[in-house]
Amino acid sequence: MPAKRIVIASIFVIFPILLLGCASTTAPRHWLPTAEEAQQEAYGAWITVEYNTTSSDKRIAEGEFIAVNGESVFVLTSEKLVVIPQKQIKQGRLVTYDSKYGVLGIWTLVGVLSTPSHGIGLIISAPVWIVLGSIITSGQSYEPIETTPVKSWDELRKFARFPQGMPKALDPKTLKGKYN
Amino acid sequence: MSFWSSLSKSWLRMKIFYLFLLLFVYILLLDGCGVATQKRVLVTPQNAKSLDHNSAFLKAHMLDGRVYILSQWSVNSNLKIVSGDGKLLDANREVLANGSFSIPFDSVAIFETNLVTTSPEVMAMALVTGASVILTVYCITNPKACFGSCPTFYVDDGPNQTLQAEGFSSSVAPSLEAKDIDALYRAKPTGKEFNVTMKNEALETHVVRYVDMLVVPRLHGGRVFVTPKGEFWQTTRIIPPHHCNGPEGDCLSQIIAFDGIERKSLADSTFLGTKETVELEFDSVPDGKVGLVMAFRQSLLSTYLFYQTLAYMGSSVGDWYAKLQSGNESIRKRMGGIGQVLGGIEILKQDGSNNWIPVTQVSETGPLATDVRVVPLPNLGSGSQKIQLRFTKGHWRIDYVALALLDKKVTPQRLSPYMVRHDAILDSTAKNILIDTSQVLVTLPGDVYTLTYLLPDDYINYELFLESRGYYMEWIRDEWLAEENPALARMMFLNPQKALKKFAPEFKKVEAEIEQQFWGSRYAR
Repeated sequence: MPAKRIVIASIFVIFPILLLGCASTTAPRHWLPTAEEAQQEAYGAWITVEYNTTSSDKRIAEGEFIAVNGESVFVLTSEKLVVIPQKQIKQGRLVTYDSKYGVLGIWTLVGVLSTPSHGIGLIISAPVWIVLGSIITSGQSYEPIETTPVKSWDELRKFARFPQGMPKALDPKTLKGKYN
Repeated sequence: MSFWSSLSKSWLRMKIFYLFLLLFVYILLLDGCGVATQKRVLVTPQNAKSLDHNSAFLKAHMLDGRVYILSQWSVNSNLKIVSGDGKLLDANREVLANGSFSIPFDSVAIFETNLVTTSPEVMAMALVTGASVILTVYCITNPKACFGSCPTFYVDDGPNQTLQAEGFSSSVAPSLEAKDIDALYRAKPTGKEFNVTMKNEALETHVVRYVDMLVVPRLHGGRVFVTPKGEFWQTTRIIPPHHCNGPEGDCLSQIIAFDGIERKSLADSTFLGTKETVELEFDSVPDGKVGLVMAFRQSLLSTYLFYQTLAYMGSSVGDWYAKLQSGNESIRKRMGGIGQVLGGIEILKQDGSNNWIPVTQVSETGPLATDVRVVPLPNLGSGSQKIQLRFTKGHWRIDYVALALLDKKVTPQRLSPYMVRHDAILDSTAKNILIDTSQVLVTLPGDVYTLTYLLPDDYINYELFLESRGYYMEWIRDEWLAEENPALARMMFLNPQKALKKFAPEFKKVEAEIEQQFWGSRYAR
């Protein structure tokens, strides 16, 4: 039946294309806490910073957002603590918690699969589910995303492990990551 | 068939499964899967009074990098301390201590609160789900409330294009191909070019052999009516009734003008074939040949029963059609059995002893467009006359009734479309097909054809009729297939009286809303 083909085609072609519009993260699997879990943790957000040490040298640092101090941003990568002067930063992107947008993706999929119960109405309801579901899912995926220069480092420091700034007495070499 | 007994049907079980699946996922995901948003706020110790107590946890970041995470926390502004139960973590977030803590403001670098709320995206998804569930419930409870019935024809009535005809409504199979003449009684052409929009608005395949305009000259101040036999009569004198009485009482205001206000009734709750009568009284009926002019259409009762029959035929519907196509007369008679019991509108007059005598019967298949016909009444007599209409309750909607003096029988002039547009694009192939009666134009759901005719120069003096010929095939819906029940299908054909009793309660459940649901399900691209 053509309508069923429409649903199947929608699920396998249109739906994945629309979901490509969702925000991604380079954080290790299960590294990010959910919004609920983040209340009881005290690690920083996952940060990706693109910066230039010279005009021709482009670098990317990604890891835990540790602190903002004066003119510097501290990022704990898998290897070491990187201190980046704010002036050198081209752009930064923070993922503050796991938005669980995949749950809404599954919800949308179930909604699309339920449209055969609408009879011929699925010609309308299936695309509505796919389009609205994808937009909503994509919207949820961007909820925990913060970026600079859209926001200032002063606004973003609340997502650092040390929002008060880098503790003076702390030896940076002793700093451990979430799973170290 | 009660709602609960129909639960045994697999299609219904499937839909209820979908419904509960959706609700289950909805509840599960809404409550348990952490789809939430977080609002984080930093507050300096000096502003500790402004801490948001809706935050379940309070984090107190110390100058040395340690952090307290407290639940059930409180602020004592006088003592300048925060208290709560929780844990103290070092700079590497390893636990240093658990328990109850009281922390002086001056030892804290900054406080942090986090407000976690259900994501607005979840609420949006809940709305989509709610609408989807409503649609599922609607489809479970009203599988037959779907728009159907043959090609629909829209023409100008002045300011608007209105539905004024439906073609060959009773031709539901190739072997039942027939012509149908519909009066375009309310058409108001504004020039020689006259457009008729033909639509396929149902889940049907329409096979159209031709659609011709029949134009008949009107006498000055008169009208032209067509009889059920296809004779055209000019009239200059129309006599309205002065009295109309049905079971509900006076019904004159409903049938005195062709204005869309119809005299209608509800079907009987125990037997769908139960009859009712409406009595009409006319004054000053002239000598001569008179006819009863009626504007009327069916209710959705016959459509409902037709769809129910198709559902019971289920996967064997092709066999039934094949038998019908093979010319088996007994099958044809049986297939029309329900229609015969429901019947048309009988017209009765009184004899010398005031007994009601049937004179003739008029019928027109289709619940959409109101058709106008004249039924010749031989030897009605002159002066004051009474006429009775007898028909099945809830089956007919009557908009207008009058008597007309039939002056002269005339032959119409036939016009074929001179221009055809398909979805607004000129389509000469379709035009050639509609002109050549050896070919047929096949239309599918959503198709719209505009047929343009060239009327005579003095078009304003002509009555317009539309003659269409063809047949249509109803598409069998999935949910109907799952309702297959050969025994009930046989009952429809072999014992229509019993079937009309059996389905009466079921029809009564949907009768009140079926009109709205029917029009709401019209198919349009």
